[in-house]
Amino acid sequence: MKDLERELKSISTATPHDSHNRRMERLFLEASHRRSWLSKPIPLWQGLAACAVAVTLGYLYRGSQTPVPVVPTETTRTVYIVPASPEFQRAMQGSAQSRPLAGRSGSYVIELSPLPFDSPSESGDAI
Amino acid sequence: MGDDHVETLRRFYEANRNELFTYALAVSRSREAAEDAIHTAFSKMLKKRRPPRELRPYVFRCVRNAAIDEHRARSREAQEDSPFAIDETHNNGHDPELQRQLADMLLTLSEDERESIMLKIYSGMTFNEIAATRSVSINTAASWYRRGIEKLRALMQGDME
Repeated sequence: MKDLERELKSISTATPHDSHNRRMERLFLEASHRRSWLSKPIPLWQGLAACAVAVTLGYLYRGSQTPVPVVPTETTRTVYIVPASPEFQRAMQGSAQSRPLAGRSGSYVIELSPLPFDSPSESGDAI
Repeated sequence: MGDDHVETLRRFYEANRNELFTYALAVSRSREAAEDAIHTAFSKMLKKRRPPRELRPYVFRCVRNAAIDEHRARSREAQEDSPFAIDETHNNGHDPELQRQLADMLLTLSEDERESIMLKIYSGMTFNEIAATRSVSINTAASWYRRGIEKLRALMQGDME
């Protein structure tokens, strides 16, 4: 048995072509590049920077897509109904142009009723 | 980890390229099919995340499977390539005619017998590794080998008489 095995062992075997070896070298090289790119560790600062960029872009995109709701400003309107004498009317018109009413920065308009009011005690209307 | 896997396979290929080619050629009986089988097998193995525990039987098994696929795919083509290259000039004192006869006889054995002889003699595998490569018990692998050798001996003796 040993002689036969020795005889078999002495037979040379076929070898692959050089082109095959080059093809295999290319295969290992490509695999090595692919692996090194995929397994490359990402530094912390790069991860944080990517997060910051994503948040900023998301915020800007959302801002461009969603219309900013126009919140109506709450205005209070106070109506003073007073029986005004001609002198009082003149005084009020003058003060409206010169300074704000009661120290408030809002604008106001004085409308003069064409009809003279009765006194509140007489009419009994309290608005 | 990834680079280690590629490097391990590359080193294994470098150290066993001729053995792998001879084995693939013995299975596929076509040089082109054997080369394609080795390339396909390694492409698939390189995509795996980590190498197996027993690399040698694993790689030979992958190459064998790929060689069988290539053989089936090329079944219409002539597949008569021999895994042997008998050199008339550099035979180290061995009879080239005897070597040629042995090589031809080896190809007449059953696939299991031929493969176990190829793996044992030309790839230097143990019966344990052959069993792992072929997914059989050690006894089965050893009996394939012994039966193959016995057949070759009988053929040789018949040829001489």
